[in-house]
Amino acid sequence: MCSNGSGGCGTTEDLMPEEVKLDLKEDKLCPRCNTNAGEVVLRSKDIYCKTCLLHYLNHKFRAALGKSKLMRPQDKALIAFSGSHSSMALLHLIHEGMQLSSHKRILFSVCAVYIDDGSVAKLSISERRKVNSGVQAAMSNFEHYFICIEQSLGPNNATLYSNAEELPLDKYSEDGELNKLFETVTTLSSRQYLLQTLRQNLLNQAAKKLNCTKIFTAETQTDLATKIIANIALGKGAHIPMDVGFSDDRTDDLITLRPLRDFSSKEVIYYNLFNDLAAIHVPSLATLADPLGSLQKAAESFVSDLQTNFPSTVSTVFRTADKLSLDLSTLDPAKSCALCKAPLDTRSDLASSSMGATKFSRLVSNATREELNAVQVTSSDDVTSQETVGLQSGLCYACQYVIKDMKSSQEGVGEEILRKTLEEESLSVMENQIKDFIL
Amino acid sequence: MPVACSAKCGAPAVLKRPKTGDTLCKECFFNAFELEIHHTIVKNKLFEKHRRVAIAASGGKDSTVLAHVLKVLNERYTYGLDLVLLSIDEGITGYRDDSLETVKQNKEDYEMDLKILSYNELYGWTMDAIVNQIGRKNNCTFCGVFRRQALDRGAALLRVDCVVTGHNADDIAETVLMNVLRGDIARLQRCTDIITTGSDSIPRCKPLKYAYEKEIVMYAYYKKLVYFSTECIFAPNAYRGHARTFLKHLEKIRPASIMDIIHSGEQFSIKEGVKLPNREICKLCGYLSSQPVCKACSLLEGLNKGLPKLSLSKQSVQNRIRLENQIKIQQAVAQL
Repeated sequence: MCSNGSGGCGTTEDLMPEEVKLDLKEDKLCPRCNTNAGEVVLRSKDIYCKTCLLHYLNHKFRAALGKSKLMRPQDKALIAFSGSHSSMALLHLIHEGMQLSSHKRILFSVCAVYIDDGSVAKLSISERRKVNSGVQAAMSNFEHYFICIEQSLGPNNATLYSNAEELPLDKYSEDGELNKLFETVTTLSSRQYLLQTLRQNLLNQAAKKLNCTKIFTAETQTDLATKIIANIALGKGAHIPMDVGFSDDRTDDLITLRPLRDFSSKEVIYYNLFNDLAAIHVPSLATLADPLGSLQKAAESFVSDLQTNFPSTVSTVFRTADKLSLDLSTLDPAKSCALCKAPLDTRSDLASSSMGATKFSRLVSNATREELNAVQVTSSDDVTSQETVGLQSGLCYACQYVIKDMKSSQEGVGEEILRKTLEEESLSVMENQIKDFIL
Repeated sequence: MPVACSAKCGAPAVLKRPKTGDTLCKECFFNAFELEIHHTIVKNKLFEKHRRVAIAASGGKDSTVLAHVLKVLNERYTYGLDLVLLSIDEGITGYRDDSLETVKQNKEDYEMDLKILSYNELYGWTMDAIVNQIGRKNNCTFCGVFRRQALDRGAALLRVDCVVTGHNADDIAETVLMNVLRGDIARLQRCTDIITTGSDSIPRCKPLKYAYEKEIVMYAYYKKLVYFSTECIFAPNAYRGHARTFLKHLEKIRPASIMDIIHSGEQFSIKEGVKLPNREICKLCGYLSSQPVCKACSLLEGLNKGLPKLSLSKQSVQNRIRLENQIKIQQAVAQL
């Protein structure tokens, strides 16, 4: 008779691999060290004790950085700190790595930067001061700086404040220009999108000012899986390799790295728990919003619900996206989006596109019958290849929604604020290019 | 206060287009909808003149509207197409038998030829019999795999140059999401293609690729087209259901997100060096396959051998079980 471990076989059903179920009531030893009792179960089957888990996570972090071969000892990295669980863990991992005495010590230098966007979330000045002092304590092991999201609109050499107390919160409060801009944008989806993009641009600015060549963000695999789904829904699929890849080099001389991208949010939480690290709660734009209030929120609840019932969801989505690359046949690498800096995905000369189809729909829904009769559809027609005008023409497909979602009555106001900012940005890029030759 | 038709025809609007938010009257909507399909067909060069085209007709709203619009456009713009209807009878009592009545009605209304192919004649199994064997779980796998091949065989029988299917924008967006969730990188790349061709299989295309499901229903409603609208009686696919609900939520938040997902899907490109399943020919039936034996044949083998669940498991498990069965038989023979 055959025996396949489970003992005997009758029908094929018995031969199907059984799901390994852990009996957690028993005191199980950690199979890695065989000395300590297991404390954590990962991937619903692997048992870790505290020491082995921390060792494993440390190794994973170092391996991600090492494998990329992107970090040089003379590099300086800016750590984008937000107070979240994952950014607490990132700071701690780097700090630990710098304390080592062995040859494994982290050699590059770092600084931490926190962006205060409390005014967008309508926090009071006292609430923001409280949050900021907590943030300052968390970053105290490093050279650190504070900056206000409002400064993303200002001149391009934003002041960085090394002390939270010095932040001129009164100047950057609710009735500023930034809030005027946000108020013209009607949907939460676009507001969240705009905030995220402005934050990224401000980080780039800060990094240049601090002579950093790398930016570290603390996005975990769970965050990135959510971002993948959200970005597909936002029409930003073209840029997924940049938006979720390990390294993102869309801006010259500056690379954004995501060293925690192989961590699940569960691993991060256990890391913090075992190291006595508490995240700082910073209410943000969408914290209290309805789970279906924006595309990003919907994607978040979709991914987390699915993950509960199908535990492989996050890793599958993540690995699928990892197999994608920028499509150089449809993207225009020479032209990048003025807002998100990614290559434009709005070429209108391609055979079939959902963009062309939408444009055509708009056209035929607004044309009179005489005009419609005059429309000649040919395979190389140019009805849909009319260029978009104004600020939108310099933006990628997804960024255009920020303008499309502006209140029609105040469209001018918002567009003008944005235009001014983007113009200043491109001016400073030009200045940077020729700075060595200006007397 | 009645809203005016945004095409400035003077008539009051009766509907708001989910795709663009424009308000239109009935006539202007028909015009716009038909012109858009025409635009898709011409822009993508879906048909050449004087070709024979099979419409995959299920009797549902998408294929009914597709048949109607293609007939209208064929006459209006003189495509010169020879249109035929092709239906697959899966053998699901209480579902397919009723919807086939609708297709027969379409045949009369649109004066097209109709060919019905049944699973029973192709494979010797009806879906009713298959569900009897394997229960309600996983039966969609059988139905889907068999239908794909059945359409190919039907198209060959009818000697057509092309098969058109009624996939709409919602279906495509849902498929993009599904393929990301399932990690199916090969399908992710081709699911947004408007024309799909195999090496020597008959090309298929999707003229309704950019048409919203809601607008298809509106079109059928105002044109008073009869269609059959019942969900299949054999359990709707649970996992796909999640993606579908999510898509409905997205559409509610931003109606254009369906087109945005398709835009995302169209821009995907696979990294160099990623291993894709190779496309080969099935040794048993000669149809396109990614394995030496195609899925339809291996499912059929399982059914005929009384081990229907076998072919649903992983290739490695299948091989192990096959080997073990062989040893068992040899041992039994030796004992005799």
